[in-house]
Order: sequence, then structure tokens, then C-alpha cells
Amino acid sequence: MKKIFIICMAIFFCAGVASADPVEQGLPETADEKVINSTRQMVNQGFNTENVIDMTRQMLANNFKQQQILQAHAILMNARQQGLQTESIMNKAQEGLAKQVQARAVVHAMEQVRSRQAFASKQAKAITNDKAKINQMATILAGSMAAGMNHEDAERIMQALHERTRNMTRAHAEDLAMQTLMTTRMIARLGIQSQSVGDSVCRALQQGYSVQEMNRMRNTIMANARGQNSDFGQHGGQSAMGGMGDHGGDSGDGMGGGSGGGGDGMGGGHM
Amino acid sequence: MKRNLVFLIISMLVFSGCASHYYQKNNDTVSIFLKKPDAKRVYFLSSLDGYKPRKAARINSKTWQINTPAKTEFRYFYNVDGAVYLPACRLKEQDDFGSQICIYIPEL
Repeated sequence: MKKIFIICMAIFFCAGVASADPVEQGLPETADEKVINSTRQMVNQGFNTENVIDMTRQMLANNFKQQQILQAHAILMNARQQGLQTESIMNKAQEGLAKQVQARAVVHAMEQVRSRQAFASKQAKAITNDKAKINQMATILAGSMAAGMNHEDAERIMQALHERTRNMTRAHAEDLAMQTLMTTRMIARLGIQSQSVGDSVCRALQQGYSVQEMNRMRNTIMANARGQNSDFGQHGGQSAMGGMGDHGGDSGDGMGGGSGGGGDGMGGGHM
Repeated sequence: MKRNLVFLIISMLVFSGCASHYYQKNNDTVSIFLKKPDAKRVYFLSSLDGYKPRKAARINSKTWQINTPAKTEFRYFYNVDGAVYLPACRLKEQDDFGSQICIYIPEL
């Protein structure tokens, strides 16, 4: 009888452990019901459980208000529902938390990333209706915008692409679009001003650059960048670049941004 | 001629500067060096692992080193003695927090 009782207790215990909610287990006790439910909802929508719990736990540890956490969750869930890539939005949250930026700035930045993705996705749909390629192009175009391309110049490039690929097969159009966007992003990341990037890429398209030529242009730029002095620093020779400008001088000093940081090591409160 | 001009304009990007920050690629790993002689503690944070801080190793009186996988592109910054620090890196983008973040791409 005693044996049966012990066995029954063991079975109930194991069943209890097996059915434990990872969300409730993963979040601290300070998490209220709404945050727990929202986190659970994200997991049910297909977000990686560990990433979501980790992000939420960090937000709680950084004194995000309930409303701010729910907003962050909503941004991610809306993005998923819109068919957008969510990885870059999640990364932005993680970056903000690591930089110990104010909660509202983190939420705002997540929305900025989502907004760029949405804009870029809409632009990509003008070139292709292949979902995977739309996501790929959108990510690359959104990356250009994160590097400084504005909406206007991004639209200009997409318009030029649209005209250039009007009479191409879909596969050819997609290839050229991909190469063009990758080249655009590369140039933008090097610090060239948005208008100059737009002008150069549009000019290249208007002159009939092929897939290979666009690819070669990007490789040449990368080779030049590699072949420079291995040190980084100020962009020089601006006067020799004609209409192309770049971002302001880069100081090597701490750029602080919105972070606080203080005290020893990684400690310090947030603002 | 026009095509060469487009090439030339875009290619005229000069990356001279001080030797404060540089990479050395070794197969699938990249060693990233930062010259910060006055720093006491340097941490490297990247999108490869959700920006978890990784302690950089001091290799001489001026230079700190971190080794990281180099197969895919990633974003990164440093924390130097408790403050966010952005080195003079070649590729960067706005971080949406009023500052910027460095980008590493394997092809470069």
C-alpha cells in the first residue's frame, strides 16, 4: 500500500514538472499576469521561447513599466502578423538593453526598426512576389536605411530599379534588385550621404549596369576598403569626392548615446 | 567612360586614420583589436549572442583583443569602464538611440 502511494506521488510529481509553464518558470515573480500572458502569447505565435523570456526578463530587471513591455511585445507580434522579419526588431531590443537605454527609447527604436522593415517590404513587393525574396530584399533595404538612406532616396532607387527591370524576366529582375540593394547598403554603411548614394546607384541603373557589373562595383568598393590602411578613422579626401559627402567625422571617443553605465564593470543603473 | 566615372566616384573613399581599431581574420574567426591604453576593463558586445558582454583580453599596455566567429555579419560595440564606446569602425549604422553601432562583414 505504501509502495503504491509512493509510486502515485512520484507520477503526480513528474506530471507536474512536465506540464510546468516555461513562461511562468522563466519570468521572475515580479512579472504580473498581463506580462506573463503576453509573453505566453508570443510563444504561442511561434517566437523562440528562450529569446522572448530572456528579453522580457531583462526588461523587468531594467524597470520597464508593464505598459512598455506590452508595447514591445505588441510591436513584435504585429510585425510577425504583417509577415515581416522580427529578428532585427528583437536584436534592437537586446541592443538597447545592453546599452542600458531608457525603456521608452528601446520601445521607440523597436518601432523604428519595424517601420523600416514595413516600408522596405512594400518596396520589395514591387519587384517580386516571392515571399522569401521579399524578406531578403526588405532586410537589405532596411539595412541601408539604418545606415542613413532616407525614404525619398530609397524610393528613388526602387523606382529606378522598377524601370530598369520592367522588361526583364522575374528571375533576372530579382537578381539585379538583390545586387543593387546589396551595393546600396554597402555604400550607405561606408558613411556616404543618402542623396549621394541615391544619385550614384540610380545613375548606374540608368546607364544599364548589369547584375555582374553591380556585383563588380560592390566588390571593387570592398576591395578598396580592404586594401586601405588596415586602420580605421576619419574619412578623408572628401573634397576629392565631388558631390559625395559622408557622415560627420567619427570621433574615437565614447559616444555614450542614451546609455548611463557607471560604477564598476558592467554595472550601473540606467537612466 | 561614364561607367568608369561612376566607379571612380564611389571608389574614392578614403579610409586613412589612426590605428585605434582593426581586425585580423583567421579562417572562420576574426580577432578584433582595440587600442585603449587607459582602460581598466573592456567588454565586447555583439548581435551574435544578443549583446551579452564578453570580456576582452589585454594583450599589451595599449591593446585589447577579442576573438569571435566571423562567418556572418554582426553589429557590435564596446563597454569601456562602464560606458558604451564606439570605436572608429569602417562600417556603421544609426542605432536608433541617438548614436551608432559598428558592423562587421566577413567579406571586408
